[in-house]
Amino acid sequence: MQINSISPFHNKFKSLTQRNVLALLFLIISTSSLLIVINYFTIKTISATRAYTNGESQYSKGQKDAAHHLAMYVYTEDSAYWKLFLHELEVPIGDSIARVALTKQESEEIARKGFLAGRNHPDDHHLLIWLFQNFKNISFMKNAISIWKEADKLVGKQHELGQEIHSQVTNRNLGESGKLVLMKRINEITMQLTVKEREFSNELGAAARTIDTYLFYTNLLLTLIIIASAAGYAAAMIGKVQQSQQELANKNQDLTQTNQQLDSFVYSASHDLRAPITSLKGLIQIARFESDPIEWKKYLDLMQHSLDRQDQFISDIIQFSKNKRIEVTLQPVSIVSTTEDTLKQHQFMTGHESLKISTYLDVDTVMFDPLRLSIILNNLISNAIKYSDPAKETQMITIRSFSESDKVCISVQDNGLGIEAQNLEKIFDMFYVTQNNNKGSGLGLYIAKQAAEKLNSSLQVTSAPGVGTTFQLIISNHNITDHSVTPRAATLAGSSMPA
Amino acid sequence: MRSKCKFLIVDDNKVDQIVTSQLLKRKLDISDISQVNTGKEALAWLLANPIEECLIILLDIRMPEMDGFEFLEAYNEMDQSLKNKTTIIMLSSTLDVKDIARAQNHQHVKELLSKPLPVNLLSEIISS
Repeated sequence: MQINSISPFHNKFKSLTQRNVLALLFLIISTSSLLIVINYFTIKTISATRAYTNGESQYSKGQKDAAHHLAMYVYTEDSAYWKLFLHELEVPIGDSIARVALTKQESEEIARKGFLAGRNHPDDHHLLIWLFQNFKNISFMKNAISIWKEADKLVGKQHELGQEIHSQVTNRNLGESGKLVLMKRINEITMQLTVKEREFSNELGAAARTIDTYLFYTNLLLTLIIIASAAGYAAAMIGKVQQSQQELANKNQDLTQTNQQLDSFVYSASHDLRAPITSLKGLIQIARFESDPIEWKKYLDLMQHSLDRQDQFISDIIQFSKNKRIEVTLQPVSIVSTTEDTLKQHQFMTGHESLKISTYLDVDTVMFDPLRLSIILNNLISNAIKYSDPAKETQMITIRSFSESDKVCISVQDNGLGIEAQNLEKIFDMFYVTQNNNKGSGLGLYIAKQAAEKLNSSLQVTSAPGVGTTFQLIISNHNITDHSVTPRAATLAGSSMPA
Repeated sequence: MRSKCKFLIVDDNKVDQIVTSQLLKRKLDISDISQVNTGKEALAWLLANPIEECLIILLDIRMPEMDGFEFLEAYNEMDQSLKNKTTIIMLSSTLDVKDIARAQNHQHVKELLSKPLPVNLLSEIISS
């Protein structure tokens, strides 16, 4: 049944886009989080690298100053310089202690003390420790640490040299040529240390620059992803808004159309309801100044006629309303019994007596709405009777039901007045009447068509003026339970067909 | 009272035709009454029947195929000499304000009367 087939599809589509939208939202949030995390760690790494660079700077200065003081000590033999030498050498020694402690994974406290001696700012200590612990196996740090180790060895050598000099000075063993040799040795170590210090700086510098580049591109990529996701999300949202705006516009249009239909309906209905009343008032007026009983009878007949029309109109309106308002219920309906009932209802219609009605109902049960089938058959049979041709010898109406491929057809055929080709389209319009029609409200076929369409069926007509008309109700895609009824010709009371 | 005037009733409702013509005959003593069912038939009648003295058309609004207003549009195209001799009075059972306004403001419509035909009003209009 197609009535609600649009809804499940629509729901599926809606849930799909809803999932996409959620996915986008998730992407934005996770990418943003990733960005924050990556930035945190990368900046921490760069910061730590900077701390090491600072540390190296203190290391070099300490070592250079120590070397300088040692040279001065050699030259002046002033023990003040010896003290200064020891003092300044504490710096690289402190760093060395930290390195050993971290390498051996001893307590962080020792490392901190070492770094402090190395003139590293206390706030940098956690960075220095973190970088060492987490990156000691990674290329640049691994290299830097081994360079550091070698530098520390050289510092050790410098310390030993210092000790040697100190004992020589204390023992007053130092001669001029001896001093020169010692200076050269001090220089030697210092030069080697400079090389190591440079290598260390370069290693850290290169690392920092590389991390910089990675950081930039990662940020760029993730930011682009975030922007794209946000744009996608925005587009989806805008799409939704546009869709609901479109739906709103459509609904508004429907409403306007409904209102217009209602207006035109009220206009026609009120006129058609009032017309018989004004006719009656007129008839009463002219009856008053009439004294001829034959004329009175004529006027009474006309009054009856007007009231019949009004009655019929009112039941048409009710039928129209029922068709519109009552929910369609799909169930097995018997064509045979519905037709019989309808024919019974029309038994007393004017002109019925000279009519021959036959039924050939091959198909009995069909999935349909009983009310609507009754409405449709009622209207078709009414019309066939109303528009029968009195000029013809026999007025015939034939009702058939048969199946064709996957459809069931019910046809009502008459040999009545027929319909002009130019009017064939208009007959289904609301309130359409023809001029030889003081017989109808103009609603019957409109209602019948509406009823058919409510059940995914179509109502078609073929006609030739003067020859006759055939209406066909085509019911499709239904479960047909075929109780084949032997074709029978039913004639109703009053027909006079000789055997 | 111009008893030489022809009367044309344009109405698809047979009962109303009878009512109107009886009222004209009995109350206003008019004998020359013709009846047609639609605007189209009215036009055909006008072409087929030359007017000597005067013509009074009692025109219904709601009719199939060509309603009262559509007839008036076609009537507008007709000879001025005919129009000079013709008085059109719209006769309807409508309650629709738009229809009423349209009829009363129409250049060719003398007056809009409500069914059933109020003969006294009609005779006043005709004699003026």
